[in-house]
Amino acid sequence: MQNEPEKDICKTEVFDTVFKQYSNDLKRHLYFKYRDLASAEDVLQETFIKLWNNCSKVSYKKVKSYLYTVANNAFLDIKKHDKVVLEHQKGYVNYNKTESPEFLMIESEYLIEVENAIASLPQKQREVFLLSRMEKKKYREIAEMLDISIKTVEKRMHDALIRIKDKLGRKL
Amino acid sequence: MNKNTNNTYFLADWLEGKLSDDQLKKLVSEKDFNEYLKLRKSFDILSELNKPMDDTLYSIKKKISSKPKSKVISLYTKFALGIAASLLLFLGLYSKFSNQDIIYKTATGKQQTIALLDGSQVILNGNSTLKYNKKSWKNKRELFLDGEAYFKVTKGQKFTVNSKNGSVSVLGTQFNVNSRDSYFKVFCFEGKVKVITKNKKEHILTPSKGVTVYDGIEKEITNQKTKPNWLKGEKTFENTPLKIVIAELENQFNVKIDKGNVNYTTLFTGGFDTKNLNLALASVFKPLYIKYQIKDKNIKLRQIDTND
Repeated sequence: MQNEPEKDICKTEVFDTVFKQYSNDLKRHLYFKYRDLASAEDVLQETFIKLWNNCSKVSYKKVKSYLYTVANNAFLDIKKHDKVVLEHQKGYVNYNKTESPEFLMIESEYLIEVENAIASLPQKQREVFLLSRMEKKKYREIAEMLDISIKTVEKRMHDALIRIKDKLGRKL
Repeated sequence: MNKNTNNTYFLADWLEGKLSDDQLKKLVSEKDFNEYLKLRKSFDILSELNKPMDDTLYSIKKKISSKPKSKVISLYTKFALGIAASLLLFLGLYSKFSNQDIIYKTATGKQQTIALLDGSQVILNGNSTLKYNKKSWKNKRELFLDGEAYFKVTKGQKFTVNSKNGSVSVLGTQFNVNSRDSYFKVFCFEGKVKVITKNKKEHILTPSKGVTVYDGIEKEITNQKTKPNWLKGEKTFENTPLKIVIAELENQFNVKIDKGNVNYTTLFTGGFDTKNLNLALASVFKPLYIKYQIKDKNIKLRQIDTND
C-alpha cells in the first residue's frame, strides 16, 4: 500500500503524460516487431485508444505492461495483417538480392548500430547530421540556425556519413 | 575504400537528393553504394521512430472524440440499445410464437398420427382438426378437438381435450373422442377419463365405458372394444341417429349424400368398412331398407316402404 493516490488515466493530462512517456519506445518496439512503419503507427494508435477506453480499469503502475501486452496482441487483430505478411515476404526476397532500396530490410540490430554510430560522431558533425537526417532540415536552414556556411554543413554531412559507414563496416 | 573528397561533398548532395542513386553508383564501389543505401533507409526509419508523436496523439484524440463523449458510456448505450432491440425482437417472435397455435387438420378420409410434446400420441381421424398452444402446453396439457381422435396419453399432469360439446380430462390413458356438430362421443379404453359435457354434466369413464351426447341427450354406453374401430378400418355405431352415420360416411369417403325421404332420426346400430364405399353403403343402408344410387361423388337415398 502506498500513500500516494493512484493517478487516474482517465484524466486527459495523465493520459497525455503516459503517451509522451511511452509512445516513442512503443512505436520503436512495434517497428522492430513488424518491420513496417505504417503498421507500427496503426497498432500504436489502436493501443492508446484501447487504453483510453479501459482507462478506469488500468492501474497507473501497470500501464506500461498493459500497453505492451495490448500492442503485442493487436498484431493479430489488425486488418493490415495480410498486408504486413506480404511486406515481410517482399522484404526477405529483396534482402537476399540487396538491390531495390525501397525494400531493403533493416535489422533492428543494424538500426541500433547506426544509432550508436551517430551518437559517437564528433559533436559538430552530429549536430548537423541530426538536424538534417532526423529533423529533415534543409542545409540552408541548418547553416542559418548554426550561423555557418552551407559548404561547412555539406562537409560535415559528407564526413559524417563516411564515418558512420566505416564504423559499421568495422562492426559488422 | 573510396576516398572521393573533391571540393564537392557528393555524399551530402546525395543525402539531400541533389545527386541521384545512379550518379552515386559511379562515384563509389558497389559495396559502399549498397551500404549507403542501407544507411539512408535507416536514417529515415530512425527519424520516423524518434520524431515527436504529436501527430499521432492528435490522431488518437480525434478518433476518441469522434465517438460521442465518454466512450465508456457510449459503449454501454450501444449495448443497451442492442439489448433493447434484441429484446424487442425476441418478444415479438415470442408473442408471435405463443399466439401461434399448432394446428393439425386432416382431409376427408385421411388419418394422421401425431406425437405430442409430452410423448402422448393422437390419431386424428378424417376431416378433423386438433389444435394446441405450444406455449401453454408446457404448463397445461390442453388441446382443442373438432372431429374425432384417439388419444394415448402418457402419464403426467392432467390432460384435457376440449371440444365445443364438452371437455375430457385424464391423467394417462387411452380414449377416443368424437365431437362433430352437436354429436359428442367419448370412449375410454384404459385408465380413467373424466368428461364434462356442454351441459356441465360430469361423467367418469372407466375402461369399456363411454358417453354419447346428441342433441342434449346424454347416454352412457358400454362396449368391450380395446381400440376404436376406425383405427382398424371400421366404424361402428350404437343406437346412433342416422344423421350422424350419414355425416360419418360423408367424412370418410368424401361424398355427398342426399337423404331423400329418409328419416334422419332413425337409430342405427352397426358399422361400416372405412376403406370400401360400396361395402359401407351396403352395410348401413341395406338393414334399414334404404336404396341408394351412386353418381360420381353424389349418393341419393330412398326409403323403401317396409309395409310391403
